[in-house]
Amino acid sequence: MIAKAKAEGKRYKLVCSAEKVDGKVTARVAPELVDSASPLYGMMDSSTGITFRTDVILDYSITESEREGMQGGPVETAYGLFADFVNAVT
Amino acid sequence: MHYKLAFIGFGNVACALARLLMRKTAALESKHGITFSVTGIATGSHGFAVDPNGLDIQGALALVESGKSINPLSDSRFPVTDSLAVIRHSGADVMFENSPVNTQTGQPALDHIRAALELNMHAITANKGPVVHGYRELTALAKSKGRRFGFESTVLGGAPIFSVFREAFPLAELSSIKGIFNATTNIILSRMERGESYAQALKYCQSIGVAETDPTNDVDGWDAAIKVAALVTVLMDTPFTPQQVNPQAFAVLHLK
Repeated sequence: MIAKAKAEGKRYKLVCSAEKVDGKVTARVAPELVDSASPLYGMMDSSTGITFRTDVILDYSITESEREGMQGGPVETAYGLFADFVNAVT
Repeated sequence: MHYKLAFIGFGNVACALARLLMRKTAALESKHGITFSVTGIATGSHGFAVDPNGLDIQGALALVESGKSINPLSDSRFPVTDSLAVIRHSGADVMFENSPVNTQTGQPALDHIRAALELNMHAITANKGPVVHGYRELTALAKSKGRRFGFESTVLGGAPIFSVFREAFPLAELSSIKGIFNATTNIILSRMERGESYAQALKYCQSIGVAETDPTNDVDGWDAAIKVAALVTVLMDTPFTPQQVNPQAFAVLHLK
């Protein structure tokens, strides 16, 4: 399946999504085929990211690339804690 | 201004935070006038320590890394044997909560954060459980105490998400989110595309410490689902559980 998708210029991603319509939220996490037009297509290995859709700015995207492995992930997460601390007291 | 810090949970992330604080010590003081000491540490399996005058952080890191207990670092006037006692006796201004995630109940993180806020501490966590199970309650409690319930590091590593929405999107209505939230499964899929088997790719993730020995939480989609639930709960102002997300990630196993 993965090789077939690759041959067609697509790839599988574990796509996370949520949508709010008329005040009601539906959400899903599932493997989906994405093509090269998707912002998710280029997120490889430990890169993760999100696109927000709003009523004002249509799409706003953030991607994060972590150092891979034990020298990585924890440092990035630790920075979020550090930033919360500094933002809380300044 | 001097801040006393308590570390509840002292695993990889909390230890990385301790090192980051030491690396940024000079910048904190020169840019913001912030100095700090660590007055309480509670670990999962290496004991507990409290000292209102400040614990030896390097010493605590060295003890934990060599598998030893931090109990000898503790001020003997405070015989602490559990996390809540560390919070109470630390006299801290800021409590960092990094106990293991419980997707079903959010405990014990919920109790740690309630206790810290009640004692007028800022409560900052990388733990998704209390966001999904206590966001409204804890945010209201923090507000009533003039303190912050911070959880920026729960989604997308430490990349700013919640603070961007709080600070830079006044009155914007969020209608949808879409993304990739779990690094382990993304590494697995990327390596499978380059020709590895699922088992080889998973083994690689375990060898670099990204995946747990039991990878269920990642490959069955629960880590991703609780992050979705946290984002919906906070940014769409709609309480939401990982169970409502009902992740379908197990199918990754059948991709060839």
